Amino acid sequence: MTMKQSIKILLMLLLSLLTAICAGAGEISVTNPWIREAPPVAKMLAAYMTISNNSNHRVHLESAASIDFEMVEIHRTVTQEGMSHMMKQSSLQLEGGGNVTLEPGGYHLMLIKPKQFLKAGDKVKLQLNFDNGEAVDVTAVVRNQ
Amino acid sequence: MVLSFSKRWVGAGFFGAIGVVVVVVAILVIRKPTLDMNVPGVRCLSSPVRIPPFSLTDQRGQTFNNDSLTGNWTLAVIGYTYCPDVCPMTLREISVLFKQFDRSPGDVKAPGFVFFSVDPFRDTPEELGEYIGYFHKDFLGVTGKPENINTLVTGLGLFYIYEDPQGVFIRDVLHKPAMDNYAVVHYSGLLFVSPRGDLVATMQPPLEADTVFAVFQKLRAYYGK
Repeated sequence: MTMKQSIKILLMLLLSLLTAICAGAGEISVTNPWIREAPPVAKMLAAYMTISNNSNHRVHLESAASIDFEMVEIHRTVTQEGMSHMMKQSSLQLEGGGNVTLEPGGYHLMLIKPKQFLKAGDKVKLQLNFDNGEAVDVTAVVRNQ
Repeated sequence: MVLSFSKRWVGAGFFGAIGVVVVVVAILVIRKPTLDMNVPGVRCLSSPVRIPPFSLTDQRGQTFNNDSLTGNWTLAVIGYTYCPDVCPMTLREISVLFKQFDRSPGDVKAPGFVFFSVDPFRDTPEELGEYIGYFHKDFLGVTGKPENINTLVTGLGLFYIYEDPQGVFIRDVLHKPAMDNYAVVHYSGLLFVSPRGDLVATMQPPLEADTVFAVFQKLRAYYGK
């Protein structure tokens, strides 16, 4: 191993460590992020997860993005008297110390136009942007579920 | 004396006849099997809904009409392939149910399954076929002229409407909305169609394969195979 290579590896390790520390230091944490595998022809997918606000003040999820999709929007499915209505949300409110679960039939991140077919087991990077200035990187797993 | 005697007999005969009718009716009512469907989200129609005459096309380009719904049970939903949450959730669970039918062929004759697209402007038969075929090889994706889709859905007493990205409803479902990224607000229940081609029950999501199967079995026992 050359000196140059060793420095490169060291720097990469340092960088990943820093990223890990930064992510851990935030007020927001995300658990169990996943995406339902969809037919290859599908233009819309959905991501689900539980978002926890570990601070003692209200925080809003304001937007989300992913390099694997053209666009990501915050949506909520509301079913009333048999009619399912997908409602675009300008933000998603998280009470201090509270959490919100995005799940099938309720809140979800609508993933618009995948750049390639995502099959079960694939990992998708999502960035969630909150109004406390935090940007949380999430790796969602595609599941056949 | 003679007169009152015969009158008495006539009276007795009359009441006797009523009594016999009451008993016969009571027996018939008691013996008629009842549809005891105590499953949350399931609505059994007190009288089956005759599906109005309609003509659409499946993904293979074959006509799908009232005749296609007779002779076997059919489960159906209405939806659209741009639906990110509810439609895939339901289709996935129905595919789980059909894999159970595949595993035990012969036990219970599998019903047909049809996904009626209410978005003919974006769901081409080819794309609809690829989409629905992903969930199960035997599933049918049916679409057609906007007015024919509308005739069927409204004839079933169901409803759909388009919505622009700002959340404003577009009531005209017979013409393509001006923007590409519209959503469809639609009835999302599972429909149970009897072999006579009548809608007999509906079931609201979230669906669970085993529960759908139990409901299907009860309906089949009641309405016949």
